[in-house]
Amino acid sequence: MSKCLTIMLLSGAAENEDAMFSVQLAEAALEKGHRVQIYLFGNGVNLSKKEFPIEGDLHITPMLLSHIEPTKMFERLAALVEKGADICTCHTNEHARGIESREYVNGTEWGDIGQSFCTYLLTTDVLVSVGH
Amino acid sequence: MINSICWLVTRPIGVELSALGIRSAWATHQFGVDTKLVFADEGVGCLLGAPGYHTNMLTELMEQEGEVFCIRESLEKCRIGQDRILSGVQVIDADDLPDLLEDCETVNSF
Repeated sequence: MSKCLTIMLLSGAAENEDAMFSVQLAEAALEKGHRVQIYLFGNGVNLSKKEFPIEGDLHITPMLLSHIEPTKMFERLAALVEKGADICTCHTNEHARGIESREYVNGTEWGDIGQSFCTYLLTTDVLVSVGH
Repeated sequence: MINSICWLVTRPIGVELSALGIRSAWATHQFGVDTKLVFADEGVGCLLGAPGYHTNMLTELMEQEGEVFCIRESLEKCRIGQDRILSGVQVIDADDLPDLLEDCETVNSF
């Protein structure tokens, strides 16, 4: 029987593996036929915005790049939405980081703790928070 | 559907996560979810009444019949007397925490 998993993700990219873990957990749940909702909170909101690509030489060694790039979850979040996940952010935490006006990753939506997150609670079977 | 929730705050007042834990408790309480907010470890420092967001939110939460707890042993470890924390906070022994948590469908740590 299909269940609904809600993840409150409190970490952004690179700072630890919380984001990667959460995305992998979401991917696994979706593949099993479950529904997934993700609320990006705290530094997690940084994942909701499209990356500004840099032009020219990055001045980063290939070895370091190979370490950094897999921690970026922008495209994988968009892929989750395409597979049916519902993802929204805390716009207040975006505002606190000066990124509220920036464009969202495809499918990720503006949200808030009082309404968006609490509405998730109405339909979820499981809530887990992931953060450090 | 989640009908009961515990927010456990272990981060001190200067760390954003402590504010997010309090904010989350306020949100779920206002939304009608049975909510418990517990302070442990360094999180008990959030209860000292320092001017600002933490104290304002906690005061409002308790005025709206929100349940706020803190762990006695954490207060002792931080050398904070019970007379110094916000009025209305319920002090419980660490041994009582598991029962409190078991009453909740989900526990989330900040």
